[in-house]
Formats: sequence, C-alpha cells, structure tokens
Amino acid sequence: MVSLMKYIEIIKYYEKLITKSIKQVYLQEHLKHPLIEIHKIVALNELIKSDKKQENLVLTTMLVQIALNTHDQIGNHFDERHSEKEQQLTVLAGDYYSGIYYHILASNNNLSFIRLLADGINEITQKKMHAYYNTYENIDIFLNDYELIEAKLISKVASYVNEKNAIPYISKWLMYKKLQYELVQINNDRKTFYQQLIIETVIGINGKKQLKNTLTYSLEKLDQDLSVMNKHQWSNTLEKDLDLYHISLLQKKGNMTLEEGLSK
Amino acid sequence: MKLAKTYAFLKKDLSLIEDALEVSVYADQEILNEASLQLLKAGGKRLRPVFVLLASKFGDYNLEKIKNVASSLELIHMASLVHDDVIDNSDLRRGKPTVKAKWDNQVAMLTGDYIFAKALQQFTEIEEPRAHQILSHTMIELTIGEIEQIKDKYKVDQNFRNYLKRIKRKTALLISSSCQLGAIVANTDNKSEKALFRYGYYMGMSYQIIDDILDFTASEKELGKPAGSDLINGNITLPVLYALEDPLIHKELTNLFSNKKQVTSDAIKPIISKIISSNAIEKAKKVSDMYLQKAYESLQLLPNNQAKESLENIANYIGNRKI
Repeated sequence: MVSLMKYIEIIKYYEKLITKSIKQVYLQEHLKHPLIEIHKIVALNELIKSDKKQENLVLTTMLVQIALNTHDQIGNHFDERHSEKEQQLTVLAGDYYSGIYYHILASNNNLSFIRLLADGINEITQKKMHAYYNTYENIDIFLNDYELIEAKLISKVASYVNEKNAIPYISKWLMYKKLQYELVQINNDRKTFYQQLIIETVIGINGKKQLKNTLTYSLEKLDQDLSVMNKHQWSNTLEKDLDLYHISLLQKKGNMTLEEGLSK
Repeated sequence: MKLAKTYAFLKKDLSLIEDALEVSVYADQEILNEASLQLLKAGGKRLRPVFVLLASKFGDYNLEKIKNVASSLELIHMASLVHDDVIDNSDLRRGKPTVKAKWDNQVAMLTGDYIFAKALQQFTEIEEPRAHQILSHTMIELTIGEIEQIKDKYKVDQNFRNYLKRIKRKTALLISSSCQLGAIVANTDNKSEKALFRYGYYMGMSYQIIDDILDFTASEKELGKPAGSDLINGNITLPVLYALEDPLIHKELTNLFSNKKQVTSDAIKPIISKIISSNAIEKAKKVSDMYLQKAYESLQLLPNNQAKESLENIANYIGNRKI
C-alpha cells in the first residue's frame, strides 16, 4: 500500500512536469493531451533512483516515448474521426516533443543522454518498420518483436545506469501492463493503434472477439513468465499486480480520493 | 551563373559530405533504407551544408569536425521535408514522388523520425554545449513556425509581421544557424560569428520571399509541383498580402476561402492571374531585395577571403533568381 501511494505521487508529479514541458497553446486547443504511459514513468523512476539528474532523465525519456507514440497515430489514410488539421498538427506535435527533449538535455549539457535517446529512436524506428510491414504467423512472434519496441528506451536507460540485469524483467512487466491496458480498451470498445496493428499483421486475427481471446491468452502466458521470474530482484519493486491505470483513472474522474483508492 | 559555381572551390568537401550523408542514412531495415535513400537522392541544393562550410572558412577549418555539423543540418532539413509532405499531402517534391506517395504516411513518419535521430547521433560528436542549445532552439522554432502556418491558413486578414515571423521560424533560422554553427565549430571570433548569423538570417528571409514569389511566377516544370500550390493550400504569402490591399482581390479571396472545399486549382486560377498582374510581385521582390541588402552589409564586417566572395555570389544568385 505504501509503495502504491508513493507511485501515485510520482506519476502525478511527472504528469505535471511533462504537461508543463510540452505546453503549446495551439496544439492544446486542437489535440487531445497525449497519452502518458504511467508504468514507464514508474519503471524509469525506479531505474534512475540513484542518479542526481533523475528528474531530467525520466522527463526526457518520457518525452521521446510520447513523441514516437504521437507519430504512430498518423495512419495511411486520414482517420475519418479526426480532421485534416488534427492530423497535420499531430505530425508537428511529435516533432515539437522531440525538439523539447533535445532542448532540455542541451540546456543541461547532457550530450551522452541525447545520444543515448537518439540511438533508441534509431533502433525503435527500424524495429517498427519491420513490425508494421511484416506478416506474422502467430501472435507470439509478434509479441516478441513488439516487446523490444515497447521496452527499447527503458532498456537503453537501464544500460546507462548500469542496471542491465533489470531489462528482462522490466520488458516482460511492461508488456504485461500493455496487454492489460489493451484489453481494457477492447472491453470499452475503444480502438487503438496497437489493436489495428495486430489485426493487420498477425495471420488469423480478424475481429474484436478473436483479438480479445488472443490477448487474454497472451496475458496469461506473460503472467506465467513473470511468476517464474518472481525471484528476480525487480519483481518486488515492480509488482505484477500493480494496477496503476485503474487507480489513476478513478482519481482523474474524481470518483474517489487517493486514500479511498488505496483502501479498496 | 549556376549556384554551384559560386562555391566551386568547396566541390571536394561537399562531395565528402554527400558521401557522409549516404552512409549516415543507411538502415538495416530494407524499406527504411530505400525511403531514406530516395529522400537523399531527390537532391536539393544542399544550401545548409554550403553555409556551414563557408562560415567555417572564417576560423579553423577542420573538415572532420565541420562535416558532422554540415551533414546533421542537412539531415534535419530532410527530416522536416519528409514530415512536411505528410502535412501537405504532397505527392511530388522537386518533380519526384515523395516518400509518402511512393510508400505511405507511416513510412514517411518513421523515415523522418529515423533521419532526425541520425542527425542528433552525428551532431552529438560536437562537444560544444552552445552549439546544441542553438540547434535545439532552432528545431523548436522551426516546428512552431509550421504550427503557426497551419494556424494562419485560409485567414485572409493577417498582417505582414505575422508573415515575417513565420518565415523567420520556418526558413531563416535554420540557415542563420547553419552559418552560426559553422562559425562556432571553427572557433571564429565573436564579431565574425555574429556577422555570419545575421547574413544567414537575412539570406533566409530573402530566399523564402523569392520562393513565395516563384510559387506564382514559375512554371510547374520549374517548381516540380503545381504552380500556386501555396495559395491552394491556404497559405497567405507576401505577394498575396500585397495583392489583398486591392479590395476586389480581397473580396474574391475571402469568398473563395469561406468554404475550403471550393478552393480548387481551377477556382484559384483567376485570383492567381490577378495577383500576377497586380504590383504585388514587384512589392514583394522589393522586400526580398531589402533583406538581401542587409545580407551584403553583414558581410562587410568579415575579412576578405574566398568564402566571403562565395557568400556574396550566393546572395547575388538568390537575388537574381528569375521570377
């Protein structure tokens, strides 16, 4: 419970910091606030705990992640739900967030971290291009590829702070959280880029029901993988059942106070 | 005189930079590699590397170091172009199919992100904090310029200041930064660095104004895209701002822009003809010449050498582009 409360505070802190850093009036007026992957904030915060520049490193890594996620929204056909202007601004928003990350690190003269994140972007774009234009025989192969994309920036940071041993556990944990998140979106009839990608690239997955069943099965497998890793030093820090999205969402909706959330 | 002739003495160095660009955009992933190469091979004047090299000639010219700056700036320019083509839904650039046309939007987005990352990987070889502060600031301003352009689209009532601020961000800053970064990496004295920055800024402003004029006066073949594209896309440039001083043109364009769906190539043709036959082109050219004059004046503060002569010749070339 104590750690959960601590995480919620950390998430709130970084959400505010990210929001402040990317503030741009016209983008704010026309685009939804970008999705901030809160499990990545927690993982990064724990990884960089002992570094004096912790705040800057977490912030800039998250900005790069948000920039790349923003560009993922640009589909091949302008989405009918969004106006042409929104699509155009989405392209620029991603570029803007990238510029901000570079500017923050340049102002702090942290060239090695600029290079590290640029290396990360470079590797992610190559892996994404492979994944987006591939045909996967089954979901397992897709998930193996996607796990590398999902955890690439955090793996880079782990190497930077000499915590390479954390990578296998954190990668699986992030994928587990990703699938949990996607299943909630499917249950709420919300389409995501990730769902669309699976339907377009994995053979045999055509509709919502099949997608839901496949992801549920994959989540169970990841659950088992994480249980096998329960002796891993990171399994205590980033618990498998840490349900940050749920608490965070309820808080945002104002349905409960932090204390109420923790007592449930 | 051809533009390349104005800096012929840099031919060998520019060829090395071209090789460096080809090496730096290489990707293991096949589509990414092809798309990046397509973008690179589409050509371009490589103006930013030229400005970096020429500015460096006023200090310690260390090609290995300068090469990184020159190619990084060209990569950033390329990355912004590939994303611009998604924004403008353009199928042609310099008469060749764009990445988004040959592949799709997603490939264009990833290619832009990849090239941008390559630029930073290279630029971090320069361990000069001020250089990174300048470049990162320029990149943010460049994006804000593009955002402002979208904000001002189809707005007939805007002022000259808006336009100048927008082209400063969109074009002039990357050129002035190219000159300034060339100066910094070559350790020139402060006075020269400042003069080179100002030269780049004024040149960039003049260059963009001429480009905006050419959109009306050049042929589709010369432009590599349909003439009048800017206005069809709702971009109000300097010639349009001057033409809008005529109440009839103002009324006609206001009516046309009141419904974006009716802004077609055919519908805009009569307005383009009126803009061309008005004195708007001439007035816009005068503003460009004024910036050009300022660029010449900035050069007066620099010592005489071959690079200074080239910078003057580039200004002559830009100023005398056939409009």
